[in-house]
Amino acid sequence: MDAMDKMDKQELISALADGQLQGEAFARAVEAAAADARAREAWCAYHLVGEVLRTGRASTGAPSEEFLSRLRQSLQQEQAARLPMVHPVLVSQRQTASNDWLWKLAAGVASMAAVAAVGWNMWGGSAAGSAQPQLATAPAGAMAVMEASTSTTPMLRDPRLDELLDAHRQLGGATALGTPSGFLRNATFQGPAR
Amino acid sequence: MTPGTARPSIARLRLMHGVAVLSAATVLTLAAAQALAAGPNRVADPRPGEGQSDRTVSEWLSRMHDATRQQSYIGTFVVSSSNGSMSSARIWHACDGQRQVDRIETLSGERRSTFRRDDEVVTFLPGTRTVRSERRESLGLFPDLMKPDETAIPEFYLARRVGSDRVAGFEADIVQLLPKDALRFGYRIWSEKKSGLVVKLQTLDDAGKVLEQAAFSELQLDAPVRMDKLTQMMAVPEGWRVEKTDAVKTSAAAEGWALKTAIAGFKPMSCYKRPSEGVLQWIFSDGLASVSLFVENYDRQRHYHEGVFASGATHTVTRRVQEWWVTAVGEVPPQTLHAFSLSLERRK
Repeated sequence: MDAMDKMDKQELISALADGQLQGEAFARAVEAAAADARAREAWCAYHLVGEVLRTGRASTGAPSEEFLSRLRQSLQQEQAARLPMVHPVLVSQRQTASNDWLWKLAAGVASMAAVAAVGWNMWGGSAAGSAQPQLATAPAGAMAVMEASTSTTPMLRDPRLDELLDAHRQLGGATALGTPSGFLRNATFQGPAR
Repeated sequence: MTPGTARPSIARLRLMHGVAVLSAATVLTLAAAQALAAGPNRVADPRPGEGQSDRTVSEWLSRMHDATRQQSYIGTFVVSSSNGSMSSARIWHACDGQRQVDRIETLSGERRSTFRRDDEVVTFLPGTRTVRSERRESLGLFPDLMKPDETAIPEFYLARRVGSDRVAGFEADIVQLLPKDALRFGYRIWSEKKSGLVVKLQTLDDAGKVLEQAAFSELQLDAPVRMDKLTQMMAVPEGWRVEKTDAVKTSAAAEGWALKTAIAGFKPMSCYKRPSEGVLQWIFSDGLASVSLFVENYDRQRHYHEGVFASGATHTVTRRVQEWWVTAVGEVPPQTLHAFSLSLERRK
């Protein structure tokens, strides 16, 4: 029963962090979130997670007790102001979790990254009309290799190159290490979408 | 609790799990970086006195090679490259000491199922309801050139056991294969202690940087995988289009091509032409890495970008040779591909 209660609390705090609660449920969740150190930790963690999902980095750090107490205060004031009204317990049920789009986005990024597995980083060479700045001067005798700056150059995607890479994977790629290393790698590694 | 509030919690749980995996990966990367910084000699080996360090390159490779013939398994295989990309697949492997059947279901990117029975490969692409069917000679039963003890591998690589580690729950020996020249990459291989199965593999450049790595994140050895069940799944479903490769076996000499000088350690394996695309593919291997030389007619419109390209451990060098356009592709350093492209010569 105790465990059940705890889970409810976590869910409540999570929903609160998502901005899904209103009325009494909201108040209950705030109470739960402020109740003890563990609950406050969960509240902070959920915010951090949300922030990382939204911005890709965490800048919040651990919220201070001061912030929490201020929050508690302002919530109390808000509740006091609303007290005369009767609020139904309103937990938005049809509305999807507000961070669902983030999940979709994350999934999108993941599949893009997989596609980018066959994108080619251009190392330069004797490309005609290449306007890339020479980033590194190869020592004499070594091959002149320069790495294109990824921030200014879109990843080169030559469909023909992808086809040849695919052909190389299909007919080459066997090694003495046995199947896991050659064939499995090639079958796992993303080939160009056809 | 109302169902509305359960959702975010589940999402968060998933995320927390993801974060845990990520941080585990970071720890691994850090550990690898430290190991690299410390140099191969100082990779921690809790049990240095096991007497396995004196296995030769061929002995190590034979063990790994044999494991794929003896060991059935189910696992999740993850491939990641230095540019941050990552792919994963679920793998079923069945064998009876003679024949091998694999089933590979991609878990990332485009949905794709690949089946292999010895040298026969069938790829299902559900997106377009297409089946690609082909024979890959290089995967043949026991191609002599791929038998570790019959390759020139010991001439060009040194093997050294540098420690032990746990991968996907299994104890593994870490074996470092160091190239003896600058024409090939090095490898760090995790070989499961009992069977010898390769459970993790890193491709390293000359500075020891990991270019690409592949590993089982989860593995079940001696799993009840049945060859007949896997084989049954290779049947083409009704209504799917079957695409056969039009690659025709030929020889470089017959097509009028030769190498002025051989590239140390690389033997010609096979040569194919694809009439529909007008391209010739000449394949070389040093036993561990392979190189494909593609030759096609030079086309001013398309072939203007001579250069070097990198994607993980795979490099590509493009170069115009008289009236032809040469594309050299392989899991080797760019200078090896340059050497190939410079050595290619028209003999007709």
